[in-house]
Amino acid sequence: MIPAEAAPAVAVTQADSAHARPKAEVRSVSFYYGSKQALDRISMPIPERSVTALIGPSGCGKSTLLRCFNRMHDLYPGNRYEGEILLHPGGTNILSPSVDPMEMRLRTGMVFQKPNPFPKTIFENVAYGLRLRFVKSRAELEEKVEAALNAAALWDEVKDRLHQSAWKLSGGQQQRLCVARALATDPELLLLDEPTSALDPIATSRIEDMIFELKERVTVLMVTHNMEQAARVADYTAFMYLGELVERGPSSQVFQKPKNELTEKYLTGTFG
Amino acid sequence: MNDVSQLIRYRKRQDYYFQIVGAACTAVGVLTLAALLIKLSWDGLGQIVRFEFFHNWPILTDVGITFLIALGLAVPVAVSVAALTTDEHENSLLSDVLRILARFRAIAIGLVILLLLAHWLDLFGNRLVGGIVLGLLVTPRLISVSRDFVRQRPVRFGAALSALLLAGVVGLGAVAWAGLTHLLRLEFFLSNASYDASKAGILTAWVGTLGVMTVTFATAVPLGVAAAVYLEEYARKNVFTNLIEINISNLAGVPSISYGLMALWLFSHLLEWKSSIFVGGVTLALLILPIVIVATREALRSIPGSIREAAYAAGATKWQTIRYHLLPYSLGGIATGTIIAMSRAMGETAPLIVIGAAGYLTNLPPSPLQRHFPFVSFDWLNSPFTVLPMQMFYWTSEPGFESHAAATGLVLIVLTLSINAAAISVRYRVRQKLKW
Repeated sequence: MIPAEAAPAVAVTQADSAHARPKAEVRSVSFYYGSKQALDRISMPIPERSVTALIGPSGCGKSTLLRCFNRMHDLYPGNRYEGEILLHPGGTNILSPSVDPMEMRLRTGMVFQKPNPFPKTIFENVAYGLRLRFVKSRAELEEKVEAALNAAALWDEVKDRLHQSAWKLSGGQQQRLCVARALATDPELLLLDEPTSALDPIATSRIEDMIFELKERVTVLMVTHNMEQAARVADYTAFMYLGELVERGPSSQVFQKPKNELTEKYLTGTFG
Repeated sequence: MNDVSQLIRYRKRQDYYFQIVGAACTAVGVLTLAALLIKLSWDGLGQIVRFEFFHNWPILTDVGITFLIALGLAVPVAVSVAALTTDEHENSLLSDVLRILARFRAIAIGLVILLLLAHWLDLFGNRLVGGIVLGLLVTPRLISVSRDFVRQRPVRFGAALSALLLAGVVGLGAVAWAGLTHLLRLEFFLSNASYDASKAGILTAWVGTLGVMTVTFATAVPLGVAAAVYLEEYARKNVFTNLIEINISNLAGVPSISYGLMALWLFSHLLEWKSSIFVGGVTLALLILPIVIVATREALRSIPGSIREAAYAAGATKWQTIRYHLLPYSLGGIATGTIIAMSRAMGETAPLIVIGAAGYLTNLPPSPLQRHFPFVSFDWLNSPFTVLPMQMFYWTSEPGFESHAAATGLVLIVLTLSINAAAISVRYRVRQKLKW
């Protein structure tokens, strides 16, 4: 169903050599929802301190792949992984059954498609990850909450109402709060699952600016429906189709000179 | 075409007839209930209410004394506390405590319970005690009111105004207190059972109900919530857990007398315990355990998956997710379910008859407070008991006690209604706060 030149394994392109060190390596990952296969032998590197975007039509498996990185699929029965995702430093195989997903998730942060703040105060939402790590000192909590809200470009808007319910914020503010919540614990890898799909253009551009600044500190892996967004913020783009990886490379190359016919068709809107 | 319109007309007519029949049934049902309720109240009210209250007013001196004591206590304390705690104490522990105490409704409930418990706890006294208790209970509210005034207005004007307000509130409270004690035949609530119809009261019965409910609450809620959390969050879904689930849902519908039989076998035959408050409480706990479990599981299930995912994505363990999210967010549902279950347990008679609750009991259980170290005692758990419905059941077979039975029934109805009202109010507040 996919043209022959779209071999599942994509070689590391030359542009990758600038960022020689990969944060994570996806090696021949397949995934099954029960008996239904959703990913078919995906392999690619995730270079450190850069933004990698996963694009593709609905149902292509991009969210499924993203959720493999923090084993979200373990929350539901009947799911099965194959292959490995190595997380550096340490080279731990995230997908290994011997890895405790609850422990492994301490190294990653995730922002979901729809803003999902907890029905708690703004402060408690951001401090949540720290509390999970038994941070007790009030000073440390306050300092890290402020830093995370600053990184998520929300501090100025909420600094006077940290102890009000997070549900009183607007949708865009809620999503930035979710980003702050994910950042508060200094994750090594930030997973964004269509973080702007529920937001208006202004809120979207604020989130995009923020992602752009974040890559100085963290490795970002994001799923997006919006190809302009991928072109704007991502250093690397991977195009997926029907559970397979069709093409992956530096965004400039993927968007301007796609190697695969299918990618070109998708980018020009001939299908999808 | 004609057929269709005929069919529609027929359906409408059918619907119309049903409406008439339904309305008639409702009217008959409601009227019957109302008539029965009026009869019950007519028979019972005489035991509870002093009708002579409406004819003479020898109570003014009592009102005055209670009022003065309460005023003399509350006003100086309130004004000085209000003056001493300024805005910089706004976030202190003291002001938090005050704010909680200032919930007047809670205070009012506390007042009634304390008034009724006073005898058992050996602090029931005279007007002095009444005045002090009233003064203490209204003081926090007065403090917060007068602080608001002081904050909003220039100090002197504010102080004068708040003093006036305090006087008004304390006065109303005192009148209500003294009026209540004179209007209600409190001796009906404060006397033991007796063969003398003019002296017989429901003290043992409601103290027994209180004790039994305490035991039921303390056992059913922790057990039920823990079991529900385990089943919902930890247990694997398989044939066995499905079987348990079906069983639990069905247990809620088992006739209550069967629980009495099970408890009789367990406590009396197997463990050879005598019938006591503890045994009664645990029996009722068994009865409401399925209700608590089902309510808790429903509440847990209503928490959206996106919140769980967010909780786990940050690296939480199951227990952390339960503690930081699932339990707090389902607390309202658990509370509502528990309150309704407790109200059902309070009215249960059949299982308690089976395990041998007393119908006629003239001794109160030992007080949970004692004068010497360690000041609390749990002997009451082990004493024989009766409860309100048992007492009522006993009186129905005694000639001359018809009005006592009716009055007890009335008390039970009022109690159950207020408990259910509390459940509704909790549910409403939670829905206001948490709309997923």
